[in-house]
Amino acid sequence: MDLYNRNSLLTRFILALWAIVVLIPILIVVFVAVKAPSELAQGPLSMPASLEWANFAAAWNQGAMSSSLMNSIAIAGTSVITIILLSSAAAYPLSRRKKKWATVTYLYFLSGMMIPFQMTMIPLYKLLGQLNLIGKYPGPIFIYIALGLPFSIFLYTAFFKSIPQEIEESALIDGCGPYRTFWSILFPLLKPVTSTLLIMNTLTIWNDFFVPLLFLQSKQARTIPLSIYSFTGEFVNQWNLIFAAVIIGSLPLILLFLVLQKQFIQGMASGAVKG
Amino acid sequence: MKPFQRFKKTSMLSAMAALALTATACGGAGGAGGKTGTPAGKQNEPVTLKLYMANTSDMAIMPEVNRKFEEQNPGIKIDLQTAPVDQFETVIKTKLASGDAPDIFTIYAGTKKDSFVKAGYLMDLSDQPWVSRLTDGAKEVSSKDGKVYGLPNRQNVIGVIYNKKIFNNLGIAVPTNWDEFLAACQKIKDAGITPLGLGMKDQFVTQLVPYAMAPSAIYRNQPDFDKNMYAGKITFTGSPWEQMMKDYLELNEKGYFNKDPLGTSNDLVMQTMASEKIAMTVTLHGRIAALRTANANLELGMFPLPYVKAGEKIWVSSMPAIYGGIYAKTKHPAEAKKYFEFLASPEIAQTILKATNSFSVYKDVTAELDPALKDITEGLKVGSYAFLDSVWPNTVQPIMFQQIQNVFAGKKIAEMLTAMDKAFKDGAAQQ
Amino acid sequence: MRKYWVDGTFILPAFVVFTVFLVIPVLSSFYYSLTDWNGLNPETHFVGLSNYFKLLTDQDVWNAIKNTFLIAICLTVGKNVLGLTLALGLQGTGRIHRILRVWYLIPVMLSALAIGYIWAYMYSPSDGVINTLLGMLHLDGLARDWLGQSDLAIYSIIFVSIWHFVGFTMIIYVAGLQSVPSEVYEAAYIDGAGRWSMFKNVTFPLIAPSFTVNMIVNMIVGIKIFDTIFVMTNGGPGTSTENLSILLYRQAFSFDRMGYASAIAVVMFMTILILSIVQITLLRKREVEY
Repeated sequence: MDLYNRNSLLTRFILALWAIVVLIPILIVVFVAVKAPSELAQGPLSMPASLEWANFAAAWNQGAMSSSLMNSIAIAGTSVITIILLSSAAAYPLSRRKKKWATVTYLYFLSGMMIPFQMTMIPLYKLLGQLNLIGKYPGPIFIYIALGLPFSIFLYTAFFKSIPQEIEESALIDGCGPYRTFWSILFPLLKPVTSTLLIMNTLTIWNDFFVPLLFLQSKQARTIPLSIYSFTGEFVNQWNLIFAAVIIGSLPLILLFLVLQKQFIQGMASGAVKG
Repeated sequence: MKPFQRFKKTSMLSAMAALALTATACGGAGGAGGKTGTPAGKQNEPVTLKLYMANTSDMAIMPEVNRKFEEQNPGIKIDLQTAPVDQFETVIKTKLASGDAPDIFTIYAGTKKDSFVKAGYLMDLSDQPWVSRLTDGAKEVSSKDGKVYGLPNRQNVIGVIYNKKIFNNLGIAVPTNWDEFLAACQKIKDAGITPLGLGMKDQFVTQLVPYAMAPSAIYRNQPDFDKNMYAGKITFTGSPWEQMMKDYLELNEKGYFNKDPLGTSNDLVMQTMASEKIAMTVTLHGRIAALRTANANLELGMFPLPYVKAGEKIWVSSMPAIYGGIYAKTKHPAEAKKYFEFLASPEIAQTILKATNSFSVYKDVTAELDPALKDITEGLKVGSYAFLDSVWPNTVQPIMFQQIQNVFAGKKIAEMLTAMDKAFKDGAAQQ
Repeated sequence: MRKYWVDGTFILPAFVVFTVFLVIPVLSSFYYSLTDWNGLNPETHFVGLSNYFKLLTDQDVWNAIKNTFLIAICLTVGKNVLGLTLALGLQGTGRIHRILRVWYLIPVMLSALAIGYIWAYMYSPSDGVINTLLGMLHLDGLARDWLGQSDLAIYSIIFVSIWHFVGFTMIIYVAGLQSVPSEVYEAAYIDGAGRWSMFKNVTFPLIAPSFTVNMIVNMIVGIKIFDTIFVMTNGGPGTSTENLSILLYRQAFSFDRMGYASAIAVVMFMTILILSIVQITLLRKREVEY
């Protein structure tokens, strides 16, 4: 393991520099979130004179964030888990079969990434209207799954290829069926990819603004980004509340990262794909 | 061979699951199509009016107003949903195009609402009792071809918001003509303060100065300017726009605006103004409240931009804002109209005006205004013209935003006016 | 025959959801592109390919194409170089490495609204953070109007987008690097391979799958990028940062030309499709398969 921890001076410099480049704008977020409105006039980087923790309470209450947090968790959770299951399953045969139909299907899924979302808005709205899914959770969930599948299939397919075929061949010979082979042997091997996809899909869905704006407008049904946007107005944006809400909304994600970190490290310690 | 049987079962199961998925989806479709009208026996159940509104400044007071309405009309419930101003138009267009319209929704004054009228989404409200009480300007911007399609509820004004303390300290009086205005800017600049704030990174800001200039420069003398534009008799090229843009740029060249207005955001200008480092800014009167939130001790005033020679009358840029329109095919037309009548009643109209600190759109209602608006209120009585885009085809404004930025980035004014002329022609043809 | 059945059950659920909730709705865009629909009026006319012909002579479209490619190329290169560097630097299990892996992902958690606000202050010409820092380092000469200068604004946006999303590129590389068995490294190390030769001959070929993914995804994302531009400049100053996504959004919802906007979308889709196929074919050849 010692091997990994050795970095050249240049690498260390880049790591440190980028850490700072990330830090400064984040400081703005924190400073603005704890300032009184009158203090905002001093510019975002001036030190807060006093810490207005009340901003967080105000954002929580006025933004009805307890319900939007639950909605976000429910919608992101259901969508992401379904994406992981469906995409890993679909990627498996697509990565193994060297037939034309596999390539065509693969490209078919991939093409989903290439669609400009703005163009799907009206047709999607019509569709969900016909399915009577507007204002209900399954609507956005189906859309998120459909939008999340292409990239996830793409990533899984790429990584399935790095798993030696012998593993599953020997499993099949041992009398292990294809579903068991997939689920209990191959899927665990892809832990780093699964963690990555969990993070990426969760983040994308968590921060998505247009889908809930179109389909989950009521105060009870809305998700975190709509709560954040509720502090914008025609003439005044309540930036301190916006940023307090941004911080509140990010905490569950940071928690998720920390949990998945462990998975990352475990994957690494076991040498990941050793079979 | 044993395992294979299991596969078959499992594969059948997955296939069935997939089928079930589509089946639920299709089942849902049947449900939506089968929406039935309210049976006659259920008339006692409250009717819910669905409102989908842009989160404009009047929305802060609306929950309270709606509560009052529900108290007085136990049979009607108001379900108010708002969207950020930036995205509202996109969503409402999507909703209407998909056939999922709210009963009442925000529409914008002037030509911006015309495509909604043309597509048949708005109810004709000409016969409503409040129509006769509207000021001429308010009636004009809510009408198309002589029919009224929206309920106006407040009037916005563009002018110069200024810091009275800075003016007093430097001994500057409110300027009444362009030379005085320039002299005031110079004096403020000499004192080391930024005379005018301009945050052009936000594109809508680009238009504010020309909008404030145009009523005095064009419409006071040529009330038919826009009509002639539509008739193709005149163009922006060769009009007073050339001089307006030159003077706009001159303010920048003389250093009266903050440094690098193109990269500065409007938020930053507002905050700098709140910390008293900027003396004036040309903007909507609604921003006075925003400035007060940021700094309660500001002494603010507002005057009409004096884009005139000494002795000439200053006209003001001013436009009624529409609360909303009623969906033409709403299931509850009577209730929706009742709600509008309630909003138009003098008492409620007064409440909304007070909350938004705006000018009245009714002949019989006078607004109690923030004292900072005293000067501009007098100015409004001299003469006013609507915001220019409310008369133009909707293709012109976005092009103008880009082109004004271009001019500030060094391109020629002539190019800008040519592009605007083309946008006007294209848009007029599209209408 | 049985094998097809099994394959089918693996693929079918994804196939159904994807087709119903994305592909079928999108097909109507193709139809709209052949009409003069304004996005509002139920009435439309079939106009054949005239929207496409109009595209060819529309200066705004060509300007947007130029910007789209500039942004896509810079983003693809920038995010891959930086993302791979960060991932290589963070292979360790030390505490700093663990913290930094999360730290670099924090920007991804910020919504576009927040990005617009924060970077308006970073880039602000008068007392913005960047220009102030440059002043403190006595580099006043480098201070610029980052978002206000037509030739600079596009690069300022590119930087923000890299700042915002490089964490994604990084974690894909991290995942790829973790799939490299540590014995491979150890063996190479014992063989006395230098740092560069180890990277070139051992690491890089093995992380080829993540390289393929990152190249293609970043190219696609780079071509489609919308939010960041929308909140930072909305295409301005003038049209200097207007790409195809911004242009089609404006055509659809500001100018009420849904048919024309759909044609732009179709062209965009086809462009990405062709580029992706080319990239996939080229990159796949490099991948090591077991």
